[in-house]
Amino acid sequence: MKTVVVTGMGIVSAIGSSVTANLQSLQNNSDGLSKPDILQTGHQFPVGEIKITDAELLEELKLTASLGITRASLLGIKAITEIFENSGKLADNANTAFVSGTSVGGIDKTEQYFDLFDEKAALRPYIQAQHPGYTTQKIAEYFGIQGLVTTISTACSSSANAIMTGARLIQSGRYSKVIVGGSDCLTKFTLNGFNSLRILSDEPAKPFDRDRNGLNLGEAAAYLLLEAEDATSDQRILAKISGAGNANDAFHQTASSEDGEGAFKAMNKALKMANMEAQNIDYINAHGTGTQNNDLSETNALKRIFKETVPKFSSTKGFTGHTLGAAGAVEAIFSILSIQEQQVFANLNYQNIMEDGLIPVRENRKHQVDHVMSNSFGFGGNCTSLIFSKHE
Amino acid sequence: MSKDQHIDFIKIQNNSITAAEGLLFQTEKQIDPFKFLGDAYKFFGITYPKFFKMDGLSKAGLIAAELLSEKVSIEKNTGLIFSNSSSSLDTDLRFQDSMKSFASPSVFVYTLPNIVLGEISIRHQIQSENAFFISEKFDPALILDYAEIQLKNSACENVLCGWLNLHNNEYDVFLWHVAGLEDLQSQRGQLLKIYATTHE
Amino acid sequence: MSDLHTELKESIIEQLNLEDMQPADIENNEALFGDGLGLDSIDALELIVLLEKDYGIKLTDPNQGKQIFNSINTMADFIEKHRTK
Repeated sequence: MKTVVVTGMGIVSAIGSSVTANLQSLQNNSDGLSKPDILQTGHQFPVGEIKITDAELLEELKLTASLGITRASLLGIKAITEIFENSGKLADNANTAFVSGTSVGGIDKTEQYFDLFDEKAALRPYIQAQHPGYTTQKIAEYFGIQGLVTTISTACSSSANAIMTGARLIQSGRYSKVIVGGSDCLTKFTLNGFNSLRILSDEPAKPFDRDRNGLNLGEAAAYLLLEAEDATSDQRILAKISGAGNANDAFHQTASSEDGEGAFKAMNKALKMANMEAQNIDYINAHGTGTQNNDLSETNALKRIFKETVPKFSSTKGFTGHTLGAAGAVEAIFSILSIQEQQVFANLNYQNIMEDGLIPVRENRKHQVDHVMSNSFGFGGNCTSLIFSKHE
Repeated sequence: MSKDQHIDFIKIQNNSITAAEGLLFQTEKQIDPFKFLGDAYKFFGITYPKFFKMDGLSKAGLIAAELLSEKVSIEKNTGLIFSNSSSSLDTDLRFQDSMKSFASPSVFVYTLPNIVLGEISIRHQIQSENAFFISEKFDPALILDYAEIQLKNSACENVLCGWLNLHNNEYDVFLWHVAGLEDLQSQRGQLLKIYATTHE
Repeated sequence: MSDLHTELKESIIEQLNLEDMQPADIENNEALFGDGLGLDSIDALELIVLLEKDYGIKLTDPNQGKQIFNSINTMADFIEKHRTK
């Protein structure tokens, strides 16, 4: 099997519009939570909103509204542009595949314009936007990607699964370059939906805290360029993907099992594929949404895998909010930054240990990081764990 | 068809459910698609407590997987690779409609295409790998390629593959089973033909 | 049995898609969750919506639901005391 390396990254999230800006916010413990401002809604829950309007994105990317491009596509294009400006490798578009994860796709545009379709012909291109493959297709068209283009939709593990799928396309020799990641924007749809499930917090989320009371939604796009190690001409290899595992919790439509069986199996598979023991992991970027259910289940799964010696771990969702389908890719980038900077990032807002709980990283600090595990769990019981390693 | 390898499949199209051996269940054309699935559920004597609370995709997927499981082994090491073109659009629209008054949590839960994978996993206690791809049309090559990678990686021992689409009240469901790598090679080239054959 | 009890049973059957059930199949003091009617956590959330939609009652703490949704009797008592419509 071929070795898969990461040679480029691009991100736009509530804590910054580039990898560097995101790193600065992580290092300064500066979160991106605010009241919704660009999203027109009556809800006042804190969200991780990117303070750039669609009109500003269109202008920056030199696109026009008549093309019917959704916010998730615009954010995705912006994030991928960063990869190519940094590594200048758009040239090989014929042999590049694109695997993108999303959960809501273009729902933002259909909810915004639904009542106007009859009177305003110019808005009609957006009618197709609710089709989830549409957001991916628009990004692929912008970059002229001619290889395999596909969308993965497995809820909050979508982009982690996109990374796993891309890595496999390379391992099996089908492609030597794959752009992987995900994009999801804030919508009234998800805000109302998560509110109906009563798992939105009206304050900044406190992952792994005894008094945690829910999550904050966020929006982001994050993409990585994966290449076969033996085929890359890039001198700047950022990290290696050494393991990936996926398992189903087979417990409930939305809730995780208390013993975290799915998470346990996913982490185990990732370690097995990486040919590693649990103690090789130096840092875990946890799923840690801040809901009662997830954090308890994940804590139990971590204790089962790592026994008495759980490595340093934190949830970075206190910075970005939970970016749903994009979260796996956002946190993959944070994991790689952790390797590059030899630093672990803070689990914001944590104060008190939960019963039989674990204490996450409270302050960002220097730490030797050779191998990072990144967890992403989605509704439908879909659990994914990825392992990124320092490239020697 | 005689020289072709046998493929275990279940197809739900045009108010009928068919398998390799022929028609299993059929109703009149005008019937509401949800009523059709409910009638099929009762006809086959399936028992799954959540059935009538689920969305259309999950109902169709659960019935198809149940019928396949009577012929092939669907167990904890069975991988699931499903795909469709319209994601959970039908349920998304229902949820948007509920938002006009009171957003419905039980509808919101199903506004993701992979929930059906969760339901099938719960029903058959499968804790193996799941994937859900959104593709423009039924693309057996993509699914078989991915199944091949899964099997070669020993991520699972056999795979339940599916195209599961619900759009404008029309079901287009085609689930089939890949028992192993050998099975997989012989299936290439046959699937589109079986999928396109209509049993009237 | 009061009208409210019957009304509640009818709306529960409809809202929670309890196929082939009649109001008479649900006992007033039967447990709605667990071993009784077998409702689950998502059904509980749907009952919170039902309280607000039909009776104008807003539950701020979802944990309150555990006692209120114990049975048709407990639900009816709570609604009688707090209804705004």
